[in-house]
Amino acid sequence: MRSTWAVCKREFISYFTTPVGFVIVGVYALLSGLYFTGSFIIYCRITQNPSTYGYDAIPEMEEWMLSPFLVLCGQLLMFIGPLVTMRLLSEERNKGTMELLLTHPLRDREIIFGKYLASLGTLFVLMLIVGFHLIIIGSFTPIEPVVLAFGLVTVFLMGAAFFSMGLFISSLANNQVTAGTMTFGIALVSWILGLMGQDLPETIPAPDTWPAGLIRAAEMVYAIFRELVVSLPLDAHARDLAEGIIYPHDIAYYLLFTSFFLFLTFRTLESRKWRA
Amino acid sequence: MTWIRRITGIAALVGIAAGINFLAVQEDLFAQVVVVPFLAGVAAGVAWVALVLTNIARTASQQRTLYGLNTVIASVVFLAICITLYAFARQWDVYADLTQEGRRDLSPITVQVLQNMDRDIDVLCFFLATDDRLVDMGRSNTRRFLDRLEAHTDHLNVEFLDPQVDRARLQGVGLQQVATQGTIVIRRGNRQRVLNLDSANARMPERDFTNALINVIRDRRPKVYFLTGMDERDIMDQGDRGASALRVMLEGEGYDVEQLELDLMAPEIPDDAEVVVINGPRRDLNARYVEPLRDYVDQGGRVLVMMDPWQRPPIAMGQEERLRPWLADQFGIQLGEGLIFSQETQTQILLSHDSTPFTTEHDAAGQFMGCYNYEHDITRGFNQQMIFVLARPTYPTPQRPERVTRSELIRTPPNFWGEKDVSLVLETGQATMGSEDLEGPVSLAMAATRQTDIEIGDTGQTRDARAVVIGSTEFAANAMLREITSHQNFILNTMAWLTESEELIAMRPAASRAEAIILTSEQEQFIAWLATLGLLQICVAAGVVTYLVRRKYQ
Repeated sequence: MRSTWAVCKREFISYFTTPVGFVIVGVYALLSGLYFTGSFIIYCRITQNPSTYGYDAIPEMEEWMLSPFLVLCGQLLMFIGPLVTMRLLSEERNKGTMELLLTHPLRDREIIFGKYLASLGTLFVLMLIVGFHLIIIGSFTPIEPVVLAFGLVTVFLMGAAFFSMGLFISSLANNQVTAGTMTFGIALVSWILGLMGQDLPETIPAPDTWPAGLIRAAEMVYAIFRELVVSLPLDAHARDLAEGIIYPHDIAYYLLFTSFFLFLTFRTLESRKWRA
Repeated sequence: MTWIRRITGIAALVGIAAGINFLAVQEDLFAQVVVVPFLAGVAAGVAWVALVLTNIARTASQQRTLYGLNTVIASVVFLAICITLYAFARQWDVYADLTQEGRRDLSPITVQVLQNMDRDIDVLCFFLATDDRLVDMGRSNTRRFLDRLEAHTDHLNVEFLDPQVDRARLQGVGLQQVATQGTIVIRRGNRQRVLNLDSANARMPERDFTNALINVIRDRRPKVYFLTGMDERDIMDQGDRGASALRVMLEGEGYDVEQLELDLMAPEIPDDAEVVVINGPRRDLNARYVEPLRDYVDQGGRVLVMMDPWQRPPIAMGQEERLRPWLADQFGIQLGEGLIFSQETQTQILLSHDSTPFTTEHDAAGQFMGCYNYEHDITRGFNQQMIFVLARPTYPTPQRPERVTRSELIRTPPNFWGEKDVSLVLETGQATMGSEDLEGPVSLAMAATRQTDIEIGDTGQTRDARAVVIGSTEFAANAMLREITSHQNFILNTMAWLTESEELIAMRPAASRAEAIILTSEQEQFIAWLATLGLLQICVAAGVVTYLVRRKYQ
């Protein structure tokens, strides 16, 4: 545990002794701040005169503004996250310090958890930005505590899941740029698939001229593909959670996603021993 | 061998890419030009993987191959475990709504209606395929809402359609166009209700949906007549004191509502009257109305009487009061002459539910939970607060008429009493309880049934007359009824009981209660600066300070 903490501390400090950490936090603050400002001010204007904006009554803040804002904060992590995770393991390899690290009396799990916890520390700093925005809202109107708490939990779970994937990719790549680009690319594809998934029809009937067995197989393949496209993106599970509606499968998804990529990272690090 | 591996790899990429490109052009997943190259690409890909693995196994050391195989198998097994656990969680169809008002929980009435459904209902949801945020929110919220409904019944057939693509389906339900934000059609046979999401609320309005569902399910629309001619509250009046909200609410729940002005020469209650309502009369019942009302009740009719406090209707010399004695005679319910009062809140009565039986020194029967009788169908499970601004005592007469059963529905907390000296209250706004006054807790709403000999068809059963008498009308006037969900619930439960639709007695969903946030232009500018430039500059400043500190100490 002490070794894990040492790795974590070293990694976390390294973020903020270089401009990287501040650039990440600054960009995140700017992007989330722009969205927050726009949506909060528009919401306030809607509440003053709903009919002007096509509403019969004042829409609920939690649903109209707060939950989408928190989900967006999580989505931003998909794009800011590669900057955090790209250096975690690939930098060690690029600088040649990986061997040094592996020769230390450290277990794989201490290295991986230490670095992962450091990335979660950065995530915590990013969440302070979100908290700052929430304080602004809270100074003008009461916020449902549960929505607030689960909104932050949602952002954390999304970030934790995404950072675990970034850590895995970082363990595969030889340099930071490759790791960052790959992580960003996967995030983008996942996000686009999520958007596409909303428009995919529930069924697409195969041509009648096909044999019955083939039709069933095609429909089954399509159903699996659709389910993957709809369920796989990280942000697909965030909306209910951010509204204070807790489905076990949403939480399970994030936890299992994180576990899976941490497991893969273990395997990758382990493979260095027998591949050498 | 190497060239075969390369060719299969390239063939896999080319085949899959060609399939995706043809799919983009053809927009038909099962077109031959899409399926053939795609499957060929997948087959080539499988061959490539097999060849690569064979090559590794051949060239690498045996131990390394075993380790690699071990890693792959372990990863696949772990993935399978994750997928299985997720599938279990997905199957576990529970959720917790932790919001303050439980706004994502279905209300008891919705659940009750769904569980009582015994025939299939089609729910056609028409949403335009557009990226508009409001449409997207409406579609996604409607989908989630309907998912929750489907958990309670197998009789909902839900379809999401694009009105531009599925034009025939739209016309099939008699519509030519849909609302911009979406249109929901609830249909059973030829009965259908159309809900337009043009209010652009962020979620599907459960209240509207449930009302529409009740309308479609019900085979009949009970007729409710509001008796006129006594200077009562007008169901067409949309002002705060009017009762148009009551009419609109009842119509929304599937009742046909009409005003009834009796012909003085030949007064008669229509045969199709399921309920006759007397809502806040300021004059007494016309003498000619008494007989038809008595006949109506004798035939098993149902009446709802609401009357404000202290109004003793002006009576001409030599005439007797009619409405109150008629109620006392027919149902054994006395509308008292005073008003209900307390030292703490004067004439304002806050009625609340209590989870433990409500006992007093005077009545330890314990059939009340707080202010509501939990043994009566109307108020059983009633767990919301009501506010009566002015109310008169409404209590059973000392003598119970034959074949009549009476129940108090609502009573005040014990610190209220029935003040007989109304003039004192009007003059001073204060009162003290005297020996003549009615001791609290005071009953202010009663229900009664009276057995009749009228048979229902050939069933051998008789139809009972029913009455609900409430010593206030303000609670059902527009100003309060529009705002207070509990009042709506109480009235709708009462109507359901009077029309023997007890399956509709439950709590309705509460309406949204968001409040306006008013920002001055200075506040808007400050928020915009603070949330964007302010925070950014804090980050930059922190970075600069760190840099300077590091420079100093290095």
